[in-house]
Amino acid sequence: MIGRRTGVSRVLHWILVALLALGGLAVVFPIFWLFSVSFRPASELNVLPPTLFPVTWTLKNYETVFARAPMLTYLWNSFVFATVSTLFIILTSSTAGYIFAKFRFPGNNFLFMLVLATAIVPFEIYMVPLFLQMNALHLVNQPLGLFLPFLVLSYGIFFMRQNTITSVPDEILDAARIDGMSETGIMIRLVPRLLAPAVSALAILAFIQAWTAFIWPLLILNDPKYFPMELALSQFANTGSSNFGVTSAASVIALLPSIIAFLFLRRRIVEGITITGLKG
Amino acid sequence: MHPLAAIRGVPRRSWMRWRFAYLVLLPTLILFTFLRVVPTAWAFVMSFFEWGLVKPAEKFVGLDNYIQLLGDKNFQTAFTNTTVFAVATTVLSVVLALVLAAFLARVVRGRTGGLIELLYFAPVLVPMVPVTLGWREIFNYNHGVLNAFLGIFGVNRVPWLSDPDMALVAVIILSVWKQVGYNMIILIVGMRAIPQIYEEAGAVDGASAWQRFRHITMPLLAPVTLFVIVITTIASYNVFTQVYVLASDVQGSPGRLVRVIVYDLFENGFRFFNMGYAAAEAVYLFLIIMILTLVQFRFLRGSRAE
Amino acid sequence: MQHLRFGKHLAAGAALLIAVSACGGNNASAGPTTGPGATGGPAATGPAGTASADACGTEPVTLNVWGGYPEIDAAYKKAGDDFKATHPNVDFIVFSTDLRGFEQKLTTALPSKTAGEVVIRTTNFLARFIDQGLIDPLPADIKAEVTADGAYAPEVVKDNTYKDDVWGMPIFTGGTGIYYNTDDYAAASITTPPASLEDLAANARKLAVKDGSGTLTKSGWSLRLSGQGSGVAEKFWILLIQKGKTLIRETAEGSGKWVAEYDGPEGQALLGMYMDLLKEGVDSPNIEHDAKAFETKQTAQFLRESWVINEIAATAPDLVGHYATVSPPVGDILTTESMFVPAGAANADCAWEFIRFMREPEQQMNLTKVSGWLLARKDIDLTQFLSENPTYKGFLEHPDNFQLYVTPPIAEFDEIETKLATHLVDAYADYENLAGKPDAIKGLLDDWAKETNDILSANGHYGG
Repeated sequence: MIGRRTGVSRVLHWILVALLALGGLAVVFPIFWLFSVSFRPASELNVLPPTLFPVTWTLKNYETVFARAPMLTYLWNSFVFATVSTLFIILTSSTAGYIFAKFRFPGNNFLFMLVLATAIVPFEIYMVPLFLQMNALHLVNQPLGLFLPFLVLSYGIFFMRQNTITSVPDEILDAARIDGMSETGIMIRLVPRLLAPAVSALAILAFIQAWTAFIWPLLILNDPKYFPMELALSQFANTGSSNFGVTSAASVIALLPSIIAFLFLRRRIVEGITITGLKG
Repeated sequence: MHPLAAIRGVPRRSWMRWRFAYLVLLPTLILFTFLRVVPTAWAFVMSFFEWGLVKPAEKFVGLDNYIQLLGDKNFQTAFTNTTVFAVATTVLSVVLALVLAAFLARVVRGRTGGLIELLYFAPVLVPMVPVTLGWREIFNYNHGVLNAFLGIFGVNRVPWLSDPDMALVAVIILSVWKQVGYNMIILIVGMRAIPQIYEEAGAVDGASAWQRFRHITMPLLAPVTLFVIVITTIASYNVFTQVYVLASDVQGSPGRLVRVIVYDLFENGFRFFNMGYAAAEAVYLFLIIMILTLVQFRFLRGSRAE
Repeated sequence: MQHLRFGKHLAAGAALLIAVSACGGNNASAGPTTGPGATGGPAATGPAGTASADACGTEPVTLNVWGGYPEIDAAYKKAGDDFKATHPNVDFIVFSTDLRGFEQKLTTALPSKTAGEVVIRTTNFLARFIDQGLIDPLPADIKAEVTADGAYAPEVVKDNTYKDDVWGMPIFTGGTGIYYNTDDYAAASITTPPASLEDLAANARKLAVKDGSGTLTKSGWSLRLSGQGSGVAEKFWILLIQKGKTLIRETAEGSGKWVAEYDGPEGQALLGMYMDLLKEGVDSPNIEHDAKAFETKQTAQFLRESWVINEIAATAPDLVGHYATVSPPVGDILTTESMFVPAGAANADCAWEFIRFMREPEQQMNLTKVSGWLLARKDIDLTQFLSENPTYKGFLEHPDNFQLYVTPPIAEFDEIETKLATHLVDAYADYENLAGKPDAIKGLLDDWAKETNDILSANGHYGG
C-alpha cells in the first residue's frame, strides 16, 4: 500500500474488504444454491420466501437421478474425451511448435501463418462443413468423430512456438547435437523438460475445453452411451417431468469433478489459465 | 564466448534437418488441414450454393444466400440480439473485472485478497450446462430466489425468462457472471507485471489513487485490456450453450428463446436443411468478428499512441 | 462421393422395393382373408409368427427404438419384452428425448445413417427425408393392413400419405381435448363444459385469479405462448379450426397447390383474442403453463393431448376426479405418429417384424394404458376402456360434423409452421402494444402470410 495508513483509511480498507467479500459470496451463490436445492424434498421447492438451507434434508433427488440416468458413465465419457483430447493437443502442439520455432525450412512461414490464420476462426463458423466431412467418413455417432476436431488446437501450436522461443535456448540444443543426440532424441527427451510449465498450462486449457464442449457433441452424437456429461445433463433436464430438485442433483453431480479439481489444483489451474491467456 | 560457438559455422539448412522438420510436422498438418483448413474453406464455398445435407452443391446461387439473409427476420433478430448481448457482456465483464482487479492487485492483497479472488474466479471453472440450469431456477418468475430477493426491496417480480427484453438481460447476467472472473484474473496478472516504481513516482508527484490508476496503470495495462476485450467479444458473438439450455422446451416452464446467430445458423442448417444458407450466415458471423477485432486493435493502438 | 453414395443408396432402395413387392404379391392375395380376421388376433398373427423367425434370424440382434415421447418408453420396453418371448435373440434399446431434441437428432442421424432401426415420428416431419430416399418404404403386407377398410380412420391414412404413397405404420394419434378443472368451474358457477371458442374465452375471464398485488396466480386459460419448434403455431392452428379455418389451404383437393389461410378475418380475430386475454390478465407469459400449470392448479383450462391424463394420475393424483375433458367444438388436427425403418438400417427385416408386432391389439391397448396416448387402430373397441376411464371422453366422443384436419403433405410445412411459431411468440410478448389494434394485427398476419407463401413458392407449391 502506498502512503500512510491512518485509522480512517484502515476502517475504509476493511469496509472495502467486506464489500468485495460480499460480492464474492454473491458470485458463488448460484453454485451453492444448486447444492442446497438438490437436498430438498419436492414439498420445499416452491416455498416462499425460500430458505437458505433445506428444512428437511433428503437424498431422494440423487436416488432419482441415478435410477434414471447412468451419470457415472457420462462422467467417464467426459473424462476419456478430455484426456484423449489433451494428450493429442499437447503432442501435436509441442512438436509442431518446436519445429516452427527452431527449424528453418522452405514453407515454415507459410505453414505457420496458415495455422495462425485458422486460430482466429471460431469453431461455430466451420462446424457445418466439418459435420458433412465426418458424415462422408461415416464418423457420425462414433467416438472418433467426437474426438477428431479436438485433437489439434491452432492456438496451442502458436503458444508452444512462443514458449519454445523463450525457454529453449539454441545453445542447449546445439550442445546436445554435439553430444551425439539425435534430433528425435532431442525433441522427445530434452525439449519437453524445458517446456514443462507451458505444457501443463496448455494441458489445463485443453482439458477444460473438451470437458465443457457442448455444441459439437450435440451435433455429432446420437447414442446416449457416448454422451459426455454436458450433453447428457442438458438432455436429462429436458426429458420427462423432473422437478428442479432432481435437475439440481444431476447438475451437482456434473459440477463436482470441476469443483474437486479446482480445490486440489487451484494454483496450477489459475496459473495455466493466465499463462495461456497472456502469452497470446 | 560460449565454447560451442564454433558449431554455428556448420550450415544448418541441410536436407536432413528439413526432412526431420517435415516428418514431424506431417501428421499434425494433415489433421490440421482436414479439421480446420478444409472445413473453413468449404464454409465459404458452400455459402454460394444451395446445399442440402444429402444433396451437396445443388445449385450455384452466387450471393443469393447473403442477400436473402439480410431480409430474413430471424437473422435480423439474431444479429440484433447477439450484438446487444456481446456489447453488454463485454463492457460489463471488462469494467467489473477492471474494478475488481484494481482492488485485488493493489489494495486488498495477501491471504484475504487471494480468497476473495477465488470466489470471483469460481464460475470460470464450472461447466456451462449445470450452472445454466441453476440460473434458470434462480430466474423463475414465481418461486425464483432472485425475485424473492428483489422483493425484499419492494421490487415487483421481474419476468426474467418470459419477457423478450428481460430474457436477453438474464442471459447477459449469467454470461457476465461466468466471464468476469477470467477477465479479472488476467488483468490482475497484467497489473502485477507493471513495476511498482511507476505508481510510486506518481504518488511522489502528489497524484491521487484514481489519477494514478487512470494515467499510469491504465495506459500500461492497455495491451492486456485489449486482449481481454477481444477474447470476450469473440466468445460473446459465438454464444450458444446458455441460450440453448435456458430456453429448453420443458413442459410448461416459461422460457423464451433468445435467438442468437449460432442458434439461427444451427436451425437453418440442421432443421430446415439449408446448409448453404447456414454457411453464408457463418461467413457473416466470421466477418463481424474479424471487423470487430481489427477495429478494437486499431482503436486501442491509437489510444496508446496518444 | 456423396453423389455416389446417394446413387448406391437408390439402387439399394430399388432392390428392396422389388423384394418387397415380390413378397407383397403373396400377402396381397392373403390380405382379404386375413384382413377382417385381424381384430381376432390369433388368426392374423399366426402366419406373421412363422415369418418372424426368419426376419430376425437366430444371431443376436439389437434393435434401437427411437421416439420423442419419454412417457411411452415403458410401452415399447414391455412390447420388446413380449417380443423376446418368440425372438429370444433380439434385444431392445429404447431411447427418447424431448420432441425438439429428438427432431434435431433425426435431422443429423437420418442422413448420416446413424439413427435407430425403428424411428417413431409423423410422416409429415419425415417427408423431407422420404424425398431424399432415407426412409424404407412400407412392406406390402403392412401397407395392405394400413389401407384395409376400417382398420384406421381415413385421416390417419391420409396423414401417412405422402406423394401418393403410404408411409410408416401408424402407432398412436395425438388428438386434442379441452381440460378443465371442475372445482374451479363450480367455484365460478359455470355449469356446462365449454361448447365454443367464445365459451372458453368467457369462462377464462371468470376463472382467472389474481393476488392482492394484482399478480396473476391462476390463469383462466393457459394459452401456448412460448416454446421452440412449431408447437406454438400448432396450438394457434387448433383454435383457428374452431373458427372454421386452417393454416394453409389446398386450392383444390389434390391439386398440390397451397395458400396461407390464417391471415383472413378469422385469423385476425383469433390473434386479437389472444392479445385481449393477455391484456386483461387472463393469462400471462410469466407464470407456469401447460400441463405443469394444470397439475399444480395454476390454470383452470387448457388444451392438450390425452397423455396429460396419465401424467396427472402419476404426478398430481389429488387432481383426479376434480377435472374433466371435453372435445373441441368444431374440429381438430389429427396427428399420427408412426413407426418407420430408416433406409439401409441393420436388421431392417427384424425391425419391420417388431413393427408388425406393435400393431397387435394387446400392444396397442397397452400403449394407451401406459402412456395415455390414443392407439392408432380404429378396429379396436374402446367402449369398455372409456367406461373405466371417463376422463378420456373429450378425446373419444366428438360432436356431430367434427372436422379432422391433417398436416399438409408437403416437406416445407415444418419450416412454415416453425417460422410462424417464432412470429407468434414475438407477437404474444408484445400484447401491450397490440391488444385492441386490429390494423396492427392484420399488418402482422399479412407479413407472416407473405413469408409462408414465399416458402410455398420456393418449393413449387404456391397456388395463390
